Amino acid sequence: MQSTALVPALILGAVLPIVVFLSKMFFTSKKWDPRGKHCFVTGGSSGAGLALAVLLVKRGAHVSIVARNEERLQKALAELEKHRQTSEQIIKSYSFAVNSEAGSAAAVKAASEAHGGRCPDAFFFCAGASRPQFWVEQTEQLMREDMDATYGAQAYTALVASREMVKQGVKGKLVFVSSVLGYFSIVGYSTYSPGKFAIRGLAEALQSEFKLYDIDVHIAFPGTIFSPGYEQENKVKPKITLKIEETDGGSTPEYVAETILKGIQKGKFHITVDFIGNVFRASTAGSSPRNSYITDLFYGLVGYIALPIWRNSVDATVLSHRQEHHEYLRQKGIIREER
Amino acid sequence: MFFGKKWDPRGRHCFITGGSSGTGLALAIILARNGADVSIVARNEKRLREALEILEEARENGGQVLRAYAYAVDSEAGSQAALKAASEPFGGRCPEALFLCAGAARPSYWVEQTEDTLKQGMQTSYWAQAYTALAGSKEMVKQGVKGKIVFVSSVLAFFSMVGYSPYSPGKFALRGLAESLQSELQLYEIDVHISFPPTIFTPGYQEENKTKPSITLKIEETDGGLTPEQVAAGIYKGVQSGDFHITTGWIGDTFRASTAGSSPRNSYMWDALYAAWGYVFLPAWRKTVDWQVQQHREEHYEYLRNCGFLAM
Repeated sequence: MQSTALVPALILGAVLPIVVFLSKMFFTSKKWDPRGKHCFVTGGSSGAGLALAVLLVKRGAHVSIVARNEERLQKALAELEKHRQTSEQIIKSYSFAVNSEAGSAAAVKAASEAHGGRCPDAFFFCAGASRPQFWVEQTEQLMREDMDATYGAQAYTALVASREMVKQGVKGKLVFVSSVLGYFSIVGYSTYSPGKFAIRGLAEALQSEFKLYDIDVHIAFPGTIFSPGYEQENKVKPKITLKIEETDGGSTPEYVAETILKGIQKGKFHITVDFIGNVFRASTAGSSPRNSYITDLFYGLVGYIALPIWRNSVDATVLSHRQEHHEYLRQKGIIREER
Repeated sequence: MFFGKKWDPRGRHCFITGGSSGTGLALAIILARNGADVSIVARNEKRLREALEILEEARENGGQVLRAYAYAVDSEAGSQAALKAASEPFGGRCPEALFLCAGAARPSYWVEQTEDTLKQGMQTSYWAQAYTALAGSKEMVKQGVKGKIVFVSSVLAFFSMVGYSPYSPGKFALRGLAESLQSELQLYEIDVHISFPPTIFTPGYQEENKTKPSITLKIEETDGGLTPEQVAAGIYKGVQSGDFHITTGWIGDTFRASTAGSSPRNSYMWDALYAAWGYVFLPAWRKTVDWQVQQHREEHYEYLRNCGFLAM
């Protein structure tokens, strides 16, 4: 090549991939706009659910929040009203238990009434709770309750929502909320992780199946969220689990909500909220559609080196806890003699 | 990676749910051949009797205890009763190794599900193993038995697609349970293993295909599969080597390596190769699946109209 062509060629060779990369990120498709859309949020009276509802109201959406406790719902509704943008926005609250098909159906029906029977455009499943405890202290009933609180609370509403959207031809969105504990698990979460993994399993199946109907599926995997639920959780959490989580960070419900909404707008399937989440996401993606194959390569490599090291330290902490734990089991009468 | 002694089933009491057919029975035979005491558990008395006869043919020595027990293990009480019965020939000592092969799949469209069918799906894909793991762990801990728990999940715990919405949640849930227990049961020196087989050519598979959505069948057309004997051999090998995640065949290995996250790996070197291959292969494969689903739209809407879900 002539030297005069070399410099422009080099510049083009360096700039073009960057331009292509950036354009793929921003211009491939229109950003999803909540304005004028009816958004249905379960677990919407507190924590991340409420924060999401506030955000959606701010962006001009119609919002229906669903939860069980009437008093909390009223407070939440008042909070939402503060952020109303236009008088046309329909902002309502509904008291229903959504961890059953019947409860979910009633909630969706009620919310659709204010919209002439048309079902919501986007469903955000923020209902869920965590009750970490030792495996050997579980019973069938406790296991079922936890599966209901983690998986059932989202699956049945998703079922009702999907049926309505397909029947009515609404090309909407389902947004599940799992957890980083849906990517990995540790001591204490034997009845929580199964439900959070199950939500992922459902989202993976539906993300494929819903190409039949043009319905989008998104699933968020937040880490620790500093919410009232988190306080409750820590009251019963095993000491060893607390110890392992000592150095963990966490996010506010508002930050999680913002990140989830941004992820939805960008059309992301798996939505993670922080660096650790990104590393886990990239390291467990398998065949799940990725948002960026380039950045995931980076996170995946970091994970390949860092995650085993982290895991080894977690295992070491567990092993060092053995004696204390057996003392605990003796006190509780779960084991008898001195070992 | 495991440079220590291989796990030897000789003289150990192995408890196998779903043990009267398919992978469970194939595993029972391998264990019996290698000198283990074997208890197979299932619901159907007749199938159990037939299975026990087959098992007897695999007997390696006269001292082995080979038994069959008819129990439904998809409840804590049922699992406890089965374990208690199986422990009796051993003076009350609980089994050392649980192989949880109980499970079934009934793939169908999501929009045709109800709360009941979802609960049923979770029952056969998750609870059928979770309660036995619970009852078995509690006994092992109480009795100080440093045993093993082997779950049998599915490649459909690494990914999912159209038709498997009643099945994948339970199989993913099994992985979630195994991941938590692999960490927690180190408190008791109890090992956890979990196998992720692909299609297994069993009577159960024939049943499954009768009601499977046509689009799912179409996508799976070119899939291979394994015999129960192959899957059982893979599980046995993996347990002997101390592998946490056990997969058989390159597809399973590719998925395993590409979704491992922080789960302890068996070989970091091999997994790096499989993961690199998966990074290119899996998205390409996924695109073909998505395309097939999209092509099926018209036919699917016709189906929904015909079954009355949508108005004509």
